[in-house]
Amino acid sequence: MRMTTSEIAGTRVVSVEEDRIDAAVAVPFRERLMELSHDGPRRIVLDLKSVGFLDSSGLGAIVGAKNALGPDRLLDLAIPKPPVEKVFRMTRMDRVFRIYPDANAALLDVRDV
Amino acid sequence: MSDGAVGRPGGTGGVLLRREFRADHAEVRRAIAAAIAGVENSGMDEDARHGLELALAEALTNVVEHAYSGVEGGAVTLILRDGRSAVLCEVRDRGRSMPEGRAPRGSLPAPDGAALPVCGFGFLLIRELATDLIYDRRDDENFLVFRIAKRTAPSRAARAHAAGLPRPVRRLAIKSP
Repeated sequence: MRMTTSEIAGTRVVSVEEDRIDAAVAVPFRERLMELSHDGPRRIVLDLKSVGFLDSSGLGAIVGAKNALGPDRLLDLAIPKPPVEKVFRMTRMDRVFRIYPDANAALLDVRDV
Repeated sequence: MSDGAVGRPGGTGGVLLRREFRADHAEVRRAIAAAIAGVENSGMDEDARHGLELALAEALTNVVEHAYSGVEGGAVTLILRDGRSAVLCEVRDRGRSMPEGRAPRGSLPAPDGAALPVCGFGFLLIRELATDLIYDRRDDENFLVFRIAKRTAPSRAARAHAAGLPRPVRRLAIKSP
């Protein structure tokens, strides 16, 4: 899984540099996401900037990472591609995550910083 | 593994794709790519193609992870047919039956205590995206058949209502004085 991190204004941005998060990569994706988010700032923004396809396995990996982070940490999402955002809407997970159109919009929302 | 005949596009009922492959994640990816190429001239809009891609991913992953759980290299057949207003999808395998001989209803998975559910979303998505879903099992073979409309599907709210799911909460716009 090609994933990079940066820390901006007290937020860790974890960017996924892959175009698909499906059952073939869900396990390594979840492990890498946990590794990149288990310590550090309270707020993580997962930037799915190049992800054009996400299935229920990928969704489960993201939800599992949120569960593992616990109630005192924040996992917010930047999702520019409509088909990926639609997966969160269809499963009602758009009510569980804060979803922004891109990482900049997420960083501009400073209500928790 | 074989790639089948390319049908006559335009809702003639022709076969757009017939593909037999082994049940593993890499083969599922290839089959989905072939399916998307196969419907290129069938008149599906972009949104519908995304829906087809996702529904096939969920159905085929379900075969790999559940029907053939613990089994290497089980055979899967995917057939796409060109309907007038929909693409008809058929997935066949010789793995285990679906639970209680039925396709999961696809309701929203229940939370596990305070934790959010991490699985059980697959059939929820298939049922959101597809219509006329049928599951059958004959002579140790599973058949899953469904349609994906070629153009914009009925509104989500209408489908949620029909499925007995809660309607999305809408905030009322409050005008400032």
